[in-house]
Amino acid sequence: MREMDNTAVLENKLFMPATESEKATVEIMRPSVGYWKDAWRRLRANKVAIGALVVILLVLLAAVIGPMLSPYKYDQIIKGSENLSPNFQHIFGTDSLGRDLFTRTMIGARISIAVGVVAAIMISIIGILYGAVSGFLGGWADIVMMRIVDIVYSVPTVLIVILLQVVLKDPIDKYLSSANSPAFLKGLGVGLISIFFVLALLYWVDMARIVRGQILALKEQEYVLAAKVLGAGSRDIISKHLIPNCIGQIIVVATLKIPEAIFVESFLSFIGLGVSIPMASLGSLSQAALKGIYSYPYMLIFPAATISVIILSMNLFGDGLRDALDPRMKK
Amino acid sequence: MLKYVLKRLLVSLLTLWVMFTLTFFLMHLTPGSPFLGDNKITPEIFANLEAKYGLDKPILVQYEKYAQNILKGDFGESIKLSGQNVGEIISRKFPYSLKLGLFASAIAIVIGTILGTVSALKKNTSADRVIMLVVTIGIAVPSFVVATVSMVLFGVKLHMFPTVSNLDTLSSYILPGFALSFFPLSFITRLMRSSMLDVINQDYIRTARAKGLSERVVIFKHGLRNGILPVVTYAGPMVATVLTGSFVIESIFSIPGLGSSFVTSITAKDYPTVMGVTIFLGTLLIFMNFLVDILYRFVDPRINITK
Amino acid sequence: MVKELLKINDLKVSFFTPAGEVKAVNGISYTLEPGKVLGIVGESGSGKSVSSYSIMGLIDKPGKIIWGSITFNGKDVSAMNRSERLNFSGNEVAMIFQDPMTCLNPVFTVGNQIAESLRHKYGKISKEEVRKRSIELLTLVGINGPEKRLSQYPHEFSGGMRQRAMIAMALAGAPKLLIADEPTTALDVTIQAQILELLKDIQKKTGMAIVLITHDLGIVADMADDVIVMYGGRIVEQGSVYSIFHNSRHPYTKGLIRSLPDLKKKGEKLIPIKGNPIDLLNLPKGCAFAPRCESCLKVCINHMPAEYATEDGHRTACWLYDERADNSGEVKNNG
Repeated sequence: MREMDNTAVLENKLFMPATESEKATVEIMRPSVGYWKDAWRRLRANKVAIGALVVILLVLLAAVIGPMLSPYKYDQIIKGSENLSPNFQHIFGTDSLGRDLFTRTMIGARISIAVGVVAAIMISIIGILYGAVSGFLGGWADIVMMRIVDIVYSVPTVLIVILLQVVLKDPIDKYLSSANSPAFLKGLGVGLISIFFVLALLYWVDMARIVRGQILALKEQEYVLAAKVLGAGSRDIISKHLIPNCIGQIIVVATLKIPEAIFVESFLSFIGLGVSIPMASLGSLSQAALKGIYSYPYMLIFPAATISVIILSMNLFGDGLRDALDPRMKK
Repeated sequence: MLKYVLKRLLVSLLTLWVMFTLTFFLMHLTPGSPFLGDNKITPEIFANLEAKYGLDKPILVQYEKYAQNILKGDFGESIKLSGQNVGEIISRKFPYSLKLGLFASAIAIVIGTILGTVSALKKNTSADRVIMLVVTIGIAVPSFVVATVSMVLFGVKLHMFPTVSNLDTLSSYILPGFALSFFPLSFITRLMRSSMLDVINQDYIRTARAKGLSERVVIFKHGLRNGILPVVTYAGPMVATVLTGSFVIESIFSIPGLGSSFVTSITAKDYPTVMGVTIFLGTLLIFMNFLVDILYRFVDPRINITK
Repeated sequence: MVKELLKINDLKVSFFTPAGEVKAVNGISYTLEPGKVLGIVGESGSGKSVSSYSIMGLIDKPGKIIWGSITFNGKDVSAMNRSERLNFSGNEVAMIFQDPMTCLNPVFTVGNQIAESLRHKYGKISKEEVRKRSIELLTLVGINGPEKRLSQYPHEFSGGMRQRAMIAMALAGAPKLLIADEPTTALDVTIQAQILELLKDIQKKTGMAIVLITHDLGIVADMADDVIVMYGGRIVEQGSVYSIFHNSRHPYTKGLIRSLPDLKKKGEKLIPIKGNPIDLLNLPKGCAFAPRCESCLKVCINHMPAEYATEDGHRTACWLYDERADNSGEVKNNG
């Protein structure tokens, strides 16, 4: 039997009914926060993700404005300065033609990040549209569209990427050398255009599957049914209910597509299918460094380390973002 | 079950056909010819070469002929290595890639599963943190970086392992095997860790504990058997990863395997070889995915009946 | 006097989460005699499940038993060594859970999982013996075609059948006590009744004691001998099932009974208990139910209520039963 030992000391007047305001003092309500605010709070608390974000921003800064501040141009050949080890003039050293490796690495990072971001955007647009249409239509259209996804999914991606690269090079080259091709495409070069092409063609399936899955799940949920009953049109339902509910997952997948695209680009550049000379990407820089690997290992280390840091921090940030945005983690 | 196998086989064959057709038309709709790069070739020689390799016939005829040849196992002749049959090249070079690939896959699966389990059971200890640090790096660093860095460090600087290899000694497997398995190993570790963490919080684990089973039985019978399921699913994509990795790893370590000759034939625009190898590797991948899919039905009884 | 089977004394369990200490169970004591059915009632977060998990040693990492003792058959559970502990769970006390869908391991056959429990109890017994006993158990819990059922996987069972299989597994160890944690919550209403009927039936046949944890007073009324009502990690009221239903004293229990549908009185309004379930991270200094209580006194807000007992062993932790509080009309028994 558990008796409070000090009950006797309580004053009699305490045994009067309590007022509502007295009762309210007890109930400490935790403030209810919105989804985005809540996600941001969780992301901020994740030190690794924030650290990764800082690294990404620093690399981005170096990639975007670094080359402009550098005294050398990325394709500037400095006679008599070939194969220099890192020193005060060239902090990453120079390559076999006497080009400043620091500038080239920054340009390479710019290319790699640009490839990643642009590819992720393209992949997302294609995947979201495809998945949304498939999920929303349902029925036969959905079945056919998902069979196509299955096939694209089980086709060995990298083999097709390589094949497309090999094949697309010539027609794109021809198109670019014709007079009426836009100037910005010329600036990109054959290698990059075909990389975008293959990424857009083959890497959207994950996104499409996820968006479709989300839409199917959401379609079954009561509030969508309620909206339908209340007479909301399909477009309203998509824009007001479905998209806001899958946006978290879409952002996460898109973010994680960036390092994946960078990975593919560097891999293709490394086997000699990426950007064209004298452009530099981190993959092609690593590949070029391979020839002199025994005498000049520094030529490999800087681009290799940069690419690893970029992919690592993007992965970590993406993971953090997933933890922050994933509603399943919510209590 | 049989119905599922047949259905899955049909999808695999369809995929295979799509890939074959895609490969063929991509290669042949390309303007330009493998011989045009060579300036020394006169128009007559060019025409002869085109005729010899059948490149002058209508494309559908070529398609039919090529399909027939492939079905007979004839991949045609290599253009750059003249006189050599692509099929011969494949059968000569593939064993190297196979040996290395099996070695790397075995390492990735065994060590990855162990590390992932340890990491999950010792969550938030220093062992877990070290493992997670290493594998997080392993996922981010491209295989060519792992290969070159480890070659320079352990091969050139420390002279611990051979850097160029014919895969005739065990030690010659170490560096390329490590470089090839680092990514899948890291991936499996992470997969296994999160899967085990998920599993040990499942209700059936609580049931097993409530039944009075020892912790060893709870973890290794009830936990591991469920925790390993995602790893089985990853086995298919892993084959693709290892195969892709072998392209660069074999080039870097000068291993005379199929991967390095694939890369060489790409740069040399050796179309028959590129096509032959693509179709061969693609078939292998699709077949492996098919096998893994079927295997998965056996390890996870839940799917057995429902499909 | 009958020797008590289970005695829990001032048990306190906390979960140490990043957000702070969650006091899930906050000093509870009760006893259970052999062959009796004890109903523990409360809403989620009241500590009813956590208190019984601590009996089985199922409190995991961030959670910890920080105070109190659990005695089973005269033996201190916390003082048991590893092998005694393993023998205790399953063979002395068995447990069934809320969701039979997730409680059976999906990758092993039902037979395999029952055999595990049998071997745990009887050591190395022959395959035939295991099979014979498994079939007996499945028959006992009312599963038709037990021979065939043994080689099936859990996903081939319906929800009710899985709960029956869980019960068979629990019975395999011939336990003296069965803890049933919301055994019917996840099931359809018709199946619920069947499972409860089965539990009652088995309880009569085997004479084991049952701790029945539920949020549903109706189930308790049907099965239990004694009832404990929990709120905010504490026992607010306990007594025999008759006195809890007919002489409920705590405002929370009264609220629970009022919110119970009574099929005999058609057209009567159900009265839900107002307010939010409590936040275990910020337990009030006084009575946890105070903010939702219609008869809340000033004293309730900052002082933990003492326990007041009547002669028949009915005990209530509520200041309203202090002699100093016998004034207002609200307090008078209106139920």
